Amino acid sequence: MSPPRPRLLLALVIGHGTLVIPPAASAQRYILKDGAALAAADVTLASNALVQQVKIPSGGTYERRFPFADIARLEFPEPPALDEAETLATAGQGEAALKLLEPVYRQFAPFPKTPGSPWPRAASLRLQCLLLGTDETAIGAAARELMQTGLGPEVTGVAKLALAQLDARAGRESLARLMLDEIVKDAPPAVAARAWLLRGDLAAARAAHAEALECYLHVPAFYGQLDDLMPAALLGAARAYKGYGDTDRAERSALELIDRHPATLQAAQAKKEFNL
Amino acid sequence: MTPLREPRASARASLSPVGPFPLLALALAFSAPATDAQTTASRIPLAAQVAEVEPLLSARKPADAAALLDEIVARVRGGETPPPGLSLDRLLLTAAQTHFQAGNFPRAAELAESLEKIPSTPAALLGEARMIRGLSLALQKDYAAAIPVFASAESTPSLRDKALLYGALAAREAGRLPVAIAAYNRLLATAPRDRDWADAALSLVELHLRADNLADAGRGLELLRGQLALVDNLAGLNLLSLQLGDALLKAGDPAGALAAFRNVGARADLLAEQQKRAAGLERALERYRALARPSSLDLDAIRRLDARLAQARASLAEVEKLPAFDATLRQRLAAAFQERGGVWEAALLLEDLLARHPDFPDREAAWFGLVRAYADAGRLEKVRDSVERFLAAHPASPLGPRALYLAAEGAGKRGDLPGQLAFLDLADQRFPPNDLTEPIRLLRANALFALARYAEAREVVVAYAREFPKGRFLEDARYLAPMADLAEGRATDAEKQIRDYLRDFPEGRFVPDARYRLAATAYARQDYAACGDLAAKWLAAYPSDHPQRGEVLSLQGDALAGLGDIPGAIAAYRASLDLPLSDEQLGYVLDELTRHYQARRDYDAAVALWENFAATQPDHPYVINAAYWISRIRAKEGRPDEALPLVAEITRRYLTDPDRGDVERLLVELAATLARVPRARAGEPKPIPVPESALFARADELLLDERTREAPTARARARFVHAEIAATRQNPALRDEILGKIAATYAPDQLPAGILGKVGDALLAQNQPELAASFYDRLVAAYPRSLFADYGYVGLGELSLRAGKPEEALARFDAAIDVAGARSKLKEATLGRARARLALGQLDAARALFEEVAANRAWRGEATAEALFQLGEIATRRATPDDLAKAQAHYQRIYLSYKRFPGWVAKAYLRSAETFDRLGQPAEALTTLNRMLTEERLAPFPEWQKALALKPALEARAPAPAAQPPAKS
Repeated sequence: MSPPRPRLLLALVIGHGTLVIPPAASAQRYILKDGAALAAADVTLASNALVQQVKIPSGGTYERRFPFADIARLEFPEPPALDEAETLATAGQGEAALKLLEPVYRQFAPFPKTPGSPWPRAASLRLQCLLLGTDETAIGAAARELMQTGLGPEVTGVAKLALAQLDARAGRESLARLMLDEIVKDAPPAVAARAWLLRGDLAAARAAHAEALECYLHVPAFYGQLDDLMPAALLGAARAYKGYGDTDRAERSALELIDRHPATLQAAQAKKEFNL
Repeated sequence: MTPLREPRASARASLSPVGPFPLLALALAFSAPATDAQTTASRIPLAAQVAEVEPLLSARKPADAAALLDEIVARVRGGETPPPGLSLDRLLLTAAQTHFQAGNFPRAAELAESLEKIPSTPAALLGEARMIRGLSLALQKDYAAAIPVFASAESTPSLRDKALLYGALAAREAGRLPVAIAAYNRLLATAPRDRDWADAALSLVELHLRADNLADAGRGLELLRGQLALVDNLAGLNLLSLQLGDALLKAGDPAGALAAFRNVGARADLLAEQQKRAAGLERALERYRALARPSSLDLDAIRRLDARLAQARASLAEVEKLPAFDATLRQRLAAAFQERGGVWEAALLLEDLLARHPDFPDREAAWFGLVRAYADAGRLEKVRDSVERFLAAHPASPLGPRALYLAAEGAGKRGDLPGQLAFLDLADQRFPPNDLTEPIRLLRANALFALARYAEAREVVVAYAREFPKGRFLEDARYLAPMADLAEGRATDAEKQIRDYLRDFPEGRFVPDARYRLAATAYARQDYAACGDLAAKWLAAYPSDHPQRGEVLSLQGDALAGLGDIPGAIAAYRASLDLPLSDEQLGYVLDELTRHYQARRDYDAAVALWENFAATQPDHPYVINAAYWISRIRAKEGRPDEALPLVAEITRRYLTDPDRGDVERLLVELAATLARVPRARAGEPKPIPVPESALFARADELLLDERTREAPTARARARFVHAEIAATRQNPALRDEILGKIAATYAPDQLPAGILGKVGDALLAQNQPELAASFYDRLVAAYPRSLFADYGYVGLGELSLRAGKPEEALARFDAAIDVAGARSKLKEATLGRARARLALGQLDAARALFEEVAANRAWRGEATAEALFQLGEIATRRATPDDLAKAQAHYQRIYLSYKRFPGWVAKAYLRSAETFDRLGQPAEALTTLNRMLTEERLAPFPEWQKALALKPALEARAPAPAAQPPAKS
């Protein structure tokens, strides 16, 4: 009797969303602690302040400075470059993503902790992209920068995870494991889940298949709502099952990956590795 | 002037899946106070009477105003002209609304209906009249009648959303869920995405759940999950997710259940978030309540926020009331994973539950689930551990026997029969008889039978039949007993019992098998004629598609062969090949046919048999056997080159797959065929052996084609053939060099089991233990049950011994035998076990193992020398004269019989001399040393210097006899 309304509803919801997105430039404002709003187009960024050129009726201008410390929040639309960069990073195209991210990262660098600033996301994504490459110095610096900024457990966790990854790459597995143990205990779910993935990778490298499996499977078991981590978990689990000798479950895991996350790198890899 | 003018935003009111029906609140919201009522009077001019209405309404006297309006309506209907600007239809609507406000719903409905019947009523008024009538009916609980009224009001655009909402509510109250769902769907399809939308969507999900539309409910929740910021009743959303998950699990959709459960948050997070949202609602309410003169819109907003807050609090209270919310969520997730085969995930969840929730009331079920998950995953160590923990925590749990039974089944599935027996024994001993006692006994008998402990299996089933004369498994027990006798070679006893079984269970499940076994017992007592006869009767009695027919034909072939009718036997065997056979039976028949063909020198037939097999069953594992036999037979005929192309073709099929470990058998055969020097023909000079480089090129030509050339595994295998050729040509240095190159060129994960083991051994021999370990590790990790896995276990055991870890070494050597079957390395594994036991100080066990090595004729060589030496050492430690004499005998045996192993000879001489000295025979000791020192080949060994150092002391105590050559062995 009922047609599939939720789908229709979703279409309408999407349509509605599209209609209400305002033009990007229209919402770029700095809101000061006294409630005043400064249009981004009316000010320039100096070292520690926003600078506004104020016209004098008699002619000429003077500079009015608004210290960064007086800014309560930013009202900027999320830069589209972030979403685009995230898509590229997910597809493994770290360098291309970095090109998109760097301008945003630099533009909002003066406002790392200001509410509404896109810097934390830009910096986290930047670290994610750097991790796709081999510049370990840059990775370390980016991770430490995030940790020092004190942006909360989520971002700090991501930074710690990067450092653990560096240790793992350098063969310092015990150090990496210590860091991961700490993350798993305290970090928010998204970070803890990533830590389990990395623990799985470490165990898999030692051919400790059962341990690797338990690590990878923590993601679907305890963090099932984190869809973006599922492809890595499923591929890791499929490989670990295979190593463990359970080819049926290995294939099932690979099939689930291909079926549910078909457009991911991991799905393509699974097709190749498991001849699916 | 429109008496009822409501903005669109007020058309939706708060709903909750768990709250009371808020129709009254909505109705009041709908009926905003009239501000333009008209007054009238019967005796006074109509306009004056109309003017009296508004003061009454302002004075909150709607009943008086309604009575007055009734009079005005009557006068107008009686023919009086209404004041300018008023018409009958507007008067009727205002009267209906005023009666509604006064709570006189029947009269309100009546007036509204009369308005609806006036053909000239404008559409806007008509819609409002329908709304009043629908609400009036609903508030009189006549929901069924209200539904079509609200449906008709949908046609008025300004009232559409309200009509849909009230229609949905009325339909829900009337129990007409499809109508309610349809109304909500129409409402949500066009409603803006806001908090009201989320409320309505939540209600819709609840209705879908009630209507068992689980897929729609799931989609709705998924949609809401993407809009969590809009959901004020987060607790309600979580409760609905739990309900949906439970319903889906019950309906056999564990994947859907999992998706639903994953929407549920942890209790603490949920409570904190819900409280935050409730505080937000309260703040919004306060803002509205602080308004000095709230509009009707504001009042409506207050009512909606109030209702929403109440719903959220009710849901929150429900969550708080639920015992062990987080633990049950873990349990639900585990159940969903378990049902969809995610047993590893289920185990993780249940371990977490048990660790974090010590007060969870249903812990026994959680323990049971954990055992089941581990058993289904085949993780036997974990099964053992979890069973022990379970029984320690709940010694008398009624789930105990079930857990043990599951554990036993899991062990059986993994082929761990001793483990299976241990669980069954525990279940039998620890728990009083229960509903699982019978299957446990039978499973135990089967496990004993499979372990070849036939007498015990028989004992169990006989006891079962006695204890349970009408048991569920009596037939099984009665049949298993003769099978045990048959397996122990007591064919006569078995035959009688089989006949008894056939008499007592003429329609039994095992009758065809029993008749086959009778024929087999005849064969066992070499009564081939009877066997053939019974087999023929069996074949006549059962249809051509009976699954056992191939087996019976094979037995018939055996009988005919026993009678000397080889052509008949061959015909029977060949007929059996056309029928289903287990791999074991198939291998037996193929081997028997090959044997008979070879005995008849019908090599072409044997080769044709295997060629046909390889062609018709190209993917069967025995294709490797086909290549092997074709190669062997043609080599036997002196025509090895004829077989090479086919053998190479078959080999190439699997050359790139490291998981096909049996390919190495073929490669060894291929290398042997290539390396074999052709026989000299009479009168012709002895053929010159082909240089190894040419043989390598030939091997590459046979094995590496376009497809295989680029595959690392294939290239490694070609090199392996080179190494085997070098070995066949008695060139171990070249062999080790090639194996070393394989190690340097290919990663362990590119190599198959057979090569991993040999490369590991070569590296160990070259004293590269760490590199060797990486190859052995890969072998046991990736191919723990392969033909060559014992290479890995023995190699790792050897490395552990070298590292001074005898316990670890012992475990490795045990695994070489128990896990890998020690197909190639039984000698080394046994010797390794003996060394490890010795290092652990377990002298008796070590001695038994060294004696086993020393006594094995097939192993005679360095292993024997070592075993004898160690037996001497063990005896020396006991130090009684008798033991020292025994030790002496062991040492002497070495330097007399195992001279090929100078290292052991040197050790044996020295220890022999020392032992003589301890026995108080310095002259014999000195003689022994002198004998040793005549053998200059022993000079490089450390014992030589020790002997030189010992000699003066012995000479001081006894005159040295003249040096004599050692006795011949």
